[in-house]
Amino acid sequence: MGPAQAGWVRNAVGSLAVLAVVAAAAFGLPVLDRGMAAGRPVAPGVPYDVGGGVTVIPPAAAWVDVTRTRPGLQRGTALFVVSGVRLAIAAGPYRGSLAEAADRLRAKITSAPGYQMAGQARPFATDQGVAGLLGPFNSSGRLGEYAVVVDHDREAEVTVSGPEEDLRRLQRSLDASLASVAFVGGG
Amino acid sequence: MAAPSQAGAESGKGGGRNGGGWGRGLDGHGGGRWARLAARPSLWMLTLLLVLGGIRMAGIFQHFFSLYPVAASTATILFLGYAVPFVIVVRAIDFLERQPPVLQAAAFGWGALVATSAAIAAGTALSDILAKLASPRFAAQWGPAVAAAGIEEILKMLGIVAIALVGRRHLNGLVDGLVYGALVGLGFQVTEDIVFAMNAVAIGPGTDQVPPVIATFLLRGFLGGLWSHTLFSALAGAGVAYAVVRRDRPGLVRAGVLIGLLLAAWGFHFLWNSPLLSDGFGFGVLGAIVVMLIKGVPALLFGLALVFAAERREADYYAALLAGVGDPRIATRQEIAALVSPRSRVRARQHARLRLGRAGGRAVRRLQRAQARLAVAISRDPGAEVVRRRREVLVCRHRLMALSIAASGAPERRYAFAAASAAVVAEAVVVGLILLGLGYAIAALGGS
Repeated sequence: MGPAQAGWVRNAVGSLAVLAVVAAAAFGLPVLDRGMAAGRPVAPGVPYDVGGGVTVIPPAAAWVDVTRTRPGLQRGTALFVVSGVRLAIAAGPYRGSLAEAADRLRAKITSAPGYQMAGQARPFATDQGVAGLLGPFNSSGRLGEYAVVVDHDREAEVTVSGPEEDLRRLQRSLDASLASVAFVGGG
Repeated sequence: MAAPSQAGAESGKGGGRNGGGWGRGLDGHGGGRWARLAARPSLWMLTLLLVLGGIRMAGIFQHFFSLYPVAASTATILFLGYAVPFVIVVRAIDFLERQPPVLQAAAFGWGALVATSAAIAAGTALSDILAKLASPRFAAQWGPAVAAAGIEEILKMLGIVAIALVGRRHLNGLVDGLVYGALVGLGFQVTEDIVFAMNAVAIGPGTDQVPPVIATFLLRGFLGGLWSHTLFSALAGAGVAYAVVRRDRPGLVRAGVLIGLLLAAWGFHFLWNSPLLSDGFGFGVLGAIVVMLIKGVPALLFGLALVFAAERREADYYAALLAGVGDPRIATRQEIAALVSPRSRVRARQHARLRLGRAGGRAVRRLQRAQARLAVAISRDPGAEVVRRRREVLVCRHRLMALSIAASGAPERRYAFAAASAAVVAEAVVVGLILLGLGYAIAALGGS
């Protein structure tokens, strides 16, 4: 093999090595991630720290999806799954009114393709006594409910969605979870 | 100099015209140049990844622009504008041996398109894996340090390796590695900052509003911009350059320096992203600023020390080549001394501006560039290229002499005081703007 051919081979090997590492990072790691189970059981009836100074009692028999759960100091998110129903909660700092927070959450929901509001929002209060707004939405094959709670400079956004049958069956447990949203050190 | 001499290698300037076996990129002249390039697998690899990364990032940006057109446009304009001072600094570092624009663009593109698109997927996956293996809390706190810093530094470093594969001839000194590394990092930084700004819009108001973009710009640009991807990747770039160029050193040493500098890049990135001292010692905003300086300044000092050392070696090497010409029409001893550092180059131009006006400053700048090109040509090709560059220097010399003759007898312009005053005022304005930005960012983020 002449020097030119050897150079070409080295160049090809180096290029393939770069390509392989990039592919391993971009595709290999996500495949590895998907191969590992994301669900973890949660202790029943115990407040779960969502982050951002907010806790919630997950629905009975729910699992937490650890890939969608990130309890940070300032902000936090958690996703609970029970049967076909998903309860997602996001908490973080907020400056504004409850109505504005509800508008914002509605805009986020309807920005997803196929999602629309299905009725008027109505007021509700958490077990801690913090006022919130709650309303229905739907998409093809799924119904949902959103709730927003604002406490001084913090807020919690909750969305519950799933097949109608599952939602109806778990209604009481889900309502209890919504009402259990609490601001640590607040109320 | 026909080939990388021992002196060249020891001064950190390896390569030369027979630049090595990985493939001599963008080298040669005439019609065969592109044919040779096209036959190089690394060029196809680089093109493929740039196209794939571009498609992926275009999809992400299209999503941003369709949801938040005003915020996305503002973020893009702000962060592209923000890159300009970095490019100016990189060009000042790269003065003596200017890298080909196409390779510089490729390095920026790798950072902006390839490394970012791969890092988005890989970083998310790695953070999820951390959450599964440890806990969501661990992933939230340490994910950016453990997952993001590690994967991003490796992906960015691969960009410099790709440049070395495509344009080996142009990576022949530590400064070249620093320059390509900085450009890869800058591309990454700009794209990542835009993505962060848009995430701030989505998480915050959730509607097309500009304030979260401004807050992100001030926070990531002014407070964290100096010790970010541009700096980290420059360190890794110097490591790659050392491993590629210093063929006179044992393989273990070269690998050790490469790994050491990559670890330094990763370590500084890890420290910056880590939650360590995130409570700001309990002193609120002031404490947070102190922590930011504690985390960022060591990286900046380390990077600056590396840049100065590498520049000095490169400058000494080229200065010796110019001195070897032994022709004061090409370069006087004072001009060679002025050529070796950005500050002395600027001082020489300022001096000429004072004596001969703006045209004089421009003439000295052109002469300096011509002298630098000649030095590079001597290091690579003792033939036609040197003759051409030598002629170029002489033309610049004649222009400067003509200006000097025309200005002889005229009183020396006394702009020194005005120039110094303007510099002080400009610096004060910049510091004021930074402080204003700091205040705005803190206010926008509610004092967090």
